[in-house]
Amino acid sequence: MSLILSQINKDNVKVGKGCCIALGVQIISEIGEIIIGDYTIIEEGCIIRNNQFKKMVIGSYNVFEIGCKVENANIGDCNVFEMRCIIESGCTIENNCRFGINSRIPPKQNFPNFSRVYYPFNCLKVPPYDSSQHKEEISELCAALFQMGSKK
Amino acid sequence: MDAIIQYDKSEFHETSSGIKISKKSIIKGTEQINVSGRCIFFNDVILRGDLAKVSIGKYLVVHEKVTLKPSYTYGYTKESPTKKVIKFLPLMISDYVEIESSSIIQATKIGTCTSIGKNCYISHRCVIGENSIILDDSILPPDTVVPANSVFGGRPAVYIAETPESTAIIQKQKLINFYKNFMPKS
Repeated sequence: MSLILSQINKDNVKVGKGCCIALGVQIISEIGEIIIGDYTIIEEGCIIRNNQFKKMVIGSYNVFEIGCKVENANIGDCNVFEMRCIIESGCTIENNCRFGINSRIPPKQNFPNFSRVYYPFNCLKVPPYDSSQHKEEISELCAALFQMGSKK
Repeated sequence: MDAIIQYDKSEFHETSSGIKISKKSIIKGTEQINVSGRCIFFNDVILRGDLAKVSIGKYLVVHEKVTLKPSYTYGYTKESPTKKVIKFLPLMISDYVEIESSSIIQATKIGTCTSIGKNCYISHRCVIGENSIILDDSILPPDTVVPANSVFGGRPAVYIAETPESTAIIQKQKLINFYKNFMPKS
């Protein structure tokens, strides 16, 4: 089961189990489908859009904080998009990446595993680490949001 | 004398304690939100009261597109000393506070007579002291403590200057005049 508080088109958008989608979120699929994995949190005012023929796939254990804009991107697992970051069309993002507050990514960029981006466009790489702690925290946060949001 | 702002009476809710809320704003969990009175909430304000307790003092002015949301911690607590859990923290806003348009606030405490500029990003678990000023377009990283009587600004925000002693009186007079001049079209 997943908690969806805003209106989305269920024909073209498929959401996995344990997701939390907050108020005022727009998920727009004009032609192609959007597929969202398990345990993904989308906070207030995010815009996720697909206006191409290809499928747009978002993996599991991702966090989109308040006011993100993502367009035509392929996203892996365990990524964090902080407040109001903008990702323009045609980017591919692998696992365990983090995009800082208000950073802006130009179109058609590739990000390998364990990369960090800070305001405005400073790219770094960190040494690899075990991502099981991040998965535990995100699944706990999903359970807490589900318990708080579902009661009247 | 400040300029008089006129609003359409059909677009605002008005309560007996003098709270004016726009009908286009999104407010959830109203039973956990505590407001003293004489506040103004403009269009497109998001306020989440279902996650934790929200307490708001008098003479608060919140401009357009502001998001107010309680923050959380991830760690050990008294109830579960062996397993890490998520705990939501209450959000406390004191009297005479002004928040300018399109900023995001996830702090735990905001002191009296502070003013927060446009496009500010105040991250998880920040504490802002009394009589302080946050400049426009600044980013406060998580767990920042802003001391009383100080000016913060920049990306990331740092200490810039000290506020004069008259800040409290000026801020109080400004917000009381703003509330008085905000009246319906006749």
